[in-house]
Amino acid sequence: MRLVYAIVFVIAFTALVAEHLTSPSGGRPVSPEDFVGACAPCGAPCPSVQKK
Amino acid sequence: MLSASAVRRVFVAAVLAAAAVAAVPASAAPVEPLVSAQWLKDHLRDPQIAVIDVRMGAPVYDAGHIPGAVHSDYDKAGWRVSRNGVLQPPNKAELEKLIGETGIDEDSHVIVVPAGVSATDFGAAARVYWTLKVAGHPAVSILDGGFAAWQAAAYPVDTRKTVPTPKIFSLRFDEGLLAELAGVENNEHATLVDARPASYFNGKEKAAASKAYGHIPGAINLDSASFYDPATNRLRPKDQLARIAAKLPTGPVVTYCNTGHWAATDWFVLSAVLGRPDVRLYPGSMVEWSANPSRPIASSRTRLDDLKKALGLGS
Amino acid sequence: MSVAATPSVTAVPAPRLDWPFLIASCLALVVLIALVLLDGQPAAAALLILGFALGAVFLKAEFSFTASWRRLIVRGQADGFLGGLLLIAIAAAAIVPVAALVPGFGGAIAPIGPSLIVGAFVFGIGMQLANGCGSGTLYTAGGGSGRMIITLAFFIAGSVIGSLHLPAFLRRGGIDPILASNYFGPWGGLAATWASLAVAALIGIAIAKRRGVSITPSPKIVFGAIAIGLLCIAVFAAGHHPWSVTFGFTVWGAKIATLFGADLSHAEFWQWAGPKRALGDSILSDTSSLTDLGMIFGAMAAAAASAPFARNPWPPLKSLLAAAVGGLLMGWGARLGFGCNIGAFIGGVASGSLHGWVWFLAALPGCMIGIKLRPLFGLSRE
Repeated sequence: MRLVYAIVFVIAFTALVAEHLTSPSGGRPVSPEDFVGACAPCGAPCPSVQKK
Repeated sequence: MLSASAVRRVFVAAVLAAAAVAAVPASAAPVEPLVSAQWLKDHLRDPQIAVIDVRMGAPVYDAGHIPGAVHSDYDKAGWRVSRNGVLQPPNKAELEKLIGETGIDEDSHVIVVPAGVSATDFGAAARVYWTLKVAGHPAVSILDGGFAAWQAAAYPVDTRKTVPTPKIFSLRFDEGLLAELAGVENNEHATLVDARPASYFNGKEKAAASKAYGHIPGAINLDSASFYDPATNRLRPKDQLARIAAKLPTGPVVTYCNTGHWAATDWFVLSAVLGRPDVRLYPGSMVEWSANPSRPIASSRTRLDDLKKALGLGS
Repeated sequence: MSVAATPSVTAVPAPRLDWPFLIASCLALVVLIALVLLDGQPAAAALLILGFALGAVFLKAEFSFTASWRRLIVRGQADGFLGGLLLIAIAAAAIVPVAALVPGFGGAIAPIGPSLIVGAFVFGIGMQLANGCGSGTLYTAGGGSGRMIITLAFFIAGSVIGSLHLPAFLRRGGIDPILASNYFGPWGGLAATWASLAVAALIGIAIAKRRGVSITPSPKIVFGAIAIGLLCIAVFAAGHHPWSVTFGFTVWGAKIATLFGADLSHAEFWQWAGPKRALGDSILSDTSSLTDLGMIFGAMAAAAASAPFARNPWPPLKSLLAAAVGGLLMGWGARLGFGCNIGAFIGGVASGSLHGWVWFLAALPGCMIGIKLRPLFGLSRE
């Protein structure tokens, strides 16, 4: 288990860092985006809005 | 001895002839956007020729210039004015004053002389050309090859300063050549042309005064240096310029860069040389556009680029 | 996962530091902190560190919601359950008023309807098969369990599938979120939240008394509850919204799917502002991912600092199957139910949102079914 664990860890961490470095740079300080109008942390719309 | 009526007829004819001559514009031949050093040498003594040397720094001018050329430093004379950290063309009053004090009026045929050693100094001449055109000046040309071409032909060079005779210039503002921020923000039909090198367009580097990496979304990259032949230090031949510009769709164009300098070369090629209608320059360019984070920017910059910059391996 | 210690005559070897994994986990944390600081994001660094602390605390305190709810259901033992309520009460003290009073801060809210109920119910089944919920999966996986890596992988996959189904489930109806501070004001809302926790505690105590079981939480549970409650407040302060676990998994899954050619541009969930931004930007720009990653490394460091790491043998295949099925059900259920124990239950109740309690009441029967299914996979009933 130990060996499998180590391999998975290394692969996953490498993928994580690669993903971060290839992600687009804003080129300027990032401002947090609000989930404006969202009804849940994932951004789902409210039922009252949906009924329209 | 002539009769009184004969004298009167001759007099009237002379007045009419003088009026006819006066009514003809300063140069009867059409004004070319680029003139050769040979042409300038042949026409240097024409009364309406007004040569302005836009090279930067008095020592360069003092060391030698075209005889009769007035020094109008691209950096310092006021061709670009800083407002809120953004370089803009002078306003109408400033522009009239600048042009008049340089010894130019509507009758002049202005010859703009760059250094002639790089694509960037050609851009300075192109920006001055554009500014004069925005002011409505009818006759402007750039010396092809700049001062370097004049020297290479071994034409006479003057070291005495030419003091310009101030003239009155009446501005006729041509707003069809100028794009402002609001116009670019609400743009629907014009093709945006980014005149900067690809590394700027892609967001791998930026001007120090710009607050963001990348380009205005939707812009096409047409590096101003691609129009310039470094071997001859001139713009490329017209057919080559047309081929390079062929990738642009027909229709209105707005050129921009960081501060409206490189963009002036693109503007000059498209508008003055290739004769495309409806070509504007956006002088605020990326420095103005990037000042407000609410305006969108497109770029292919990655966080790896940021990391390289932080480690001193990139920009 | 610890095994009850059996008294032994022979000397038990003292715990050794498992250097490779201790160094790897700390190095991983440092690298990520460096990357986000280079990006000019100190809040992101804070979330990584707080996640690290959460991982260590959960592991050392063995704070398992799954096991404690199973104890409550099967034996009526309320100690872990009460610890959880204490945790929420502490977190609520900051979250309810600040979310109501300070602009830029928001609580965890969700619409109440079929999506929430079905999602929580399915999650409840899954967590008992997997032997862990969202936080449990993270700290045991980080703590060296290979079985939990399988759970995590299927959790991630289930989350993406859930994201594709959520919009349709939402269209089946529901009511807008009900937030205590909207009805009672910030402090009245806090009082109402504490009152609801007190009621739940009384019910838990009553169940325990009826079964004749002790209700006293161990010092470990009390320490864990207080520490985690305070860390919840800190995560809320750094991220401006309550601690969330499963959103991170959903993003990881979607990015992996995209890498293998999936086109999510027509999936409604991924056009919503939050998910769309998270999918297009780095994982390290997502608050949920940051605490998730920190938690894995923190649990790993805490585990490696006290015992040989990942030395347990693989469990039998049936158990691994339960891990996979459980993970899949949790992933799908969490997306529909707006989170797991952390995001929906703790986050919701500590925000004063009614959906937190609805989630709990729907998850509980799911747990009961999950517990009944455990023996099918060779897992213990308690």
